[in-house]
Amino acid sequence: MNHIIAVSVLFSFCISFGLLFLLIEISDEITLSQKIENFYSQDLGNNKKKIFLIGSSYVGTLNTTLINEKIFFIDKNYEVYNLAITSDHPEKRIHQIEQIISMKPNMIFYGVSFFDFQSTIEKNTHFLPDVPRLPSSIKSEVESLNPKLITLQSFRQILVENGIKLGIDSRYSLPNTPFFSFGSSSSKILNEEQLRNDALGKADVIQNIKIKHDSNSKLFSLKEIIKQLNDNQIDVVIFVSPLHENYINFIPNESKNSFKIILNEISEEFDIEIIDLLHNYEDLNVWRDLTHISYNKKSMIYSEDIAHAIIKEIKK
Amino acid sequence: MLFNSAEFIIFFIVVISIITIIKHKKFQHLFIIFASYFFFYFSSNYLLSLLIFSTLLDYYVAKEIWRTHNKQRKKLLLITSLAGNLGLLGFFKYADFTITQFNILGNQFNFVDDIPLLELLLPIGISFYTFQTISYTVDVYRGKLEPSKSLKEFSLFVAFFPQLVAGPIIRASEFLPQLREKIEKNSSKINLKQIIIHNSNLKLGITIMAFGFLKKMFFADNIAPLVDSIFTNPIGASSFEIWLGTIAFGIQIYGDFSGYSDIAIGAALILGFKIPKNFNKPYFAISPSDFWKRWHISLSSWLRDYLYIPLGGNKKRSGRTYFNLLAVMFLGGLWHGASWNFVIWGVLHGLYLGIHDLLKNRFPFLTKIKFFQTKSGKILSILITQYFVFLAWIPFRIHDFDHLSYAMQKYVFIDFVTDNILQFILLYKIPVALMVLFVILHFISFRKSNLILNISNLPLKYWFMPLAIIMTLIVLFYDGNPKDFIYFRF
Repeated sequence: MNHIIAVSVLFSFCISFGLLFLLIEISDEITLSQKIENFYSQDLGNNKKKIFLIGSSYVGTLNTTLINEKIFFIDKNYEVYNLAITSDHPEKRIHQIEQIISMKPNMIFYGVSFFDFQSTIEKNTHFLPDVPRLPSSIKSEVESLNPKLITLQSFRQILVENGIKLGIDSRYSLPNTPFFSFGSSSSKILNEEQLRNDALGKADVIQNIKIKHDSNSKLFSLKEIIKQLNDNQIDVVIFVSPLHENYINFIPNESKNSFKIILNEISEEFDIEIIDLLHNYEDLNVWRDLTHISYNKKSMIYSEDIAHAIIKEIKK
Repeated sequence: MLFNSAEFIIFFIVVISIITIIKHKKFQHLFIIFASYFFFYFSSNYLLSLLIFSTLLDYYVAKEIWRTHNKQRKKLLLITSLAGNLGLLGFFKYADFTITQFNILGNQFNFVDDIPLLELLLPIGISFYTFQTISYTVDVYRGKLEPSKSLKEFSLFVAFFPQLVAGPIIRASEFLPQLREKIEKNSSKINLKQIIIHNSNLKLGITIMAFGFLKKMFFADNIAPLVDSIFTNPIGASSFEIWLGTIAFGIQIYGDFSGYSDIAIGAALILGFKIPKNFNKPYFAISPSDFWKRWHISLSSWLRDYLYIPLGGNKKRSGRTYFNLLAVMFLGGLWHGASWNFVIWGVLHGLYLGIHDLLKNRFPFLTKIKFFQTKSGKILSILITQYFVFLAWIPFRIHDFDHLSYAMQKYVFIDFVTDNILQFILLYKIPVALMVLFVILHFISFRKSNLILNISNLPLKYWFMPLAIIMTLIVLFYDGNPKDFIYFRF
């Protein structure tokens, strides 16, 4: 009868995953992987030269409307797209490299920070060979599916359709920013005390940021991304995303040094410019939290600086 | 390898398939040892050598202890085993903690140079398997247990993968007989049991595992964001938030750890091994000592048998009893992690046990008050006990001392600030709703203690329904990132 039990378990699996796929179908919200597929499969419909901003959420807060306006005055033939994805890093991004190349962008502005090179294996290295894991592409696929998000969004949808409002923070997207959405907290600016408390609370986590410059798989992925882009005549500019001073102060010196070594290595190996914005706004009143500049009129300096950097590259 | 990962599901299906297909007894046992080592190697790599070292040390030392009649030699061998096991545990788990304390002390005396930290990787499960091997050798030393007759048998006892990394801590006297069909006294021949996957074990095992996954992935992981948001930096939080965070953490850690234990017990049962339960509705305990009969039972009984009783237990004068209780709970706290906050947690529980014992001894009439035998009296006892149990969860969760003292003050001295309560609950409505649901389910399982057994006894056509509901809840509330089990860190 063992096999009947196994069939029952399988049947239960089918029911649960069937319900998940049903929810995905009925949900208005589309998953990240669907968004990615939709974006890269479309024809952007204009003959303008494309510039892609790539990176994690700290790139996501860059305002493409403002950047495009600034560039428009210099050269009308360019259009900037912000392709930032929350919690992105080179090991994840490398799975999209073929799609990015297929869009034929002229230039890539890649925003990096400490998290992009954070070691996944802490402390000791393994002396013996590791057992092969499930391919990271499968894991990132599951991660981007995020069933919990779909479930909650479907519940919200059902509640809203039935006229029930629970003060839910609705999220919105911005032009040319297909993978990143904003909520009401995105435009908040924290004061000094709030940022200090935030830093104290996260001190343990920040002090544990470990970056190795040797045998760093994320660095290897970034190099591979740059190589493939260069092979396809796509210019790459790396910029270091800004962080608040309270955050920077807690990062171990060893990791800061490794980060510098990594950046120098990339710059020398590929002969590309590195724009360092790490300390540029560290003490300004522009922060939503310790790692993200607010999406707010008062904090447009970050987007303006990136716009100027792009203009400088265009003029070259 | 995390239980809540695709890798484990694949691994486990492969293991039970191979066990089912190949019915050769010797092969089956060897295969489970191999699978257990693979399971450990998967996440711990070369640290597997420590597990093998511990296995070899205790196998041969225990054998020698049994063979020799010289008491001095027996003692020396026991010390060798204890030094080997505790040395490993101490070095890998407490070396950096000790160095840090030396450096702090050195700074007080203006020593300029700090001793550099070793930054050793904590071998997963070391706290569990060393306790398991120690109990084996001590039992042999005490003459309570005959040593294992083959290295294969003993290796399987130490490395059995379902409970290898986070318990329950099993005793050789419970496990070894399950490996054998027949034990012939004074004979080197042993008859290993054939591992057969019985229908009833498979059904019950899957049901127990499903409930374990539900506790971990549906409850604990979805309540965690509320706990993190409150305790990452509790300064400025109201008493209401601290209480909510503390209760949420109590549920999270119970769901996390008892969920792990359930998965371990269920997986072992499918393979035909019975592992005693590790939790028994601890939040319905009516006294501190009752709590420790219900929470992490395998550890508390280990501490009782191998630490508290050898120290003299409660047989000596009462002052010594209280010292023993405090010492045991101090070490129990330190066992959880090389950090003072765990020591505070342990000492608090030591104080609870001591004070409860003192009240019972000095005022015996208290135990005879009829009110405490009534339903209302029991509810009051539960509430008082849990008030203190949850107070002790605060140092278990918060590591920073300023944060810790603030949170404990807010827990004890309630500020009655009611602003923003509704807003806060609305912000965390999912975790709060799950907390309420958990309390209801916990109560139901308290009233109907055979709930899991009853479900597994359902005919197949009905059995799959609760299973499908559990799987659906897990799948629909999974965010794509498997979360670590809290007890993996210990």
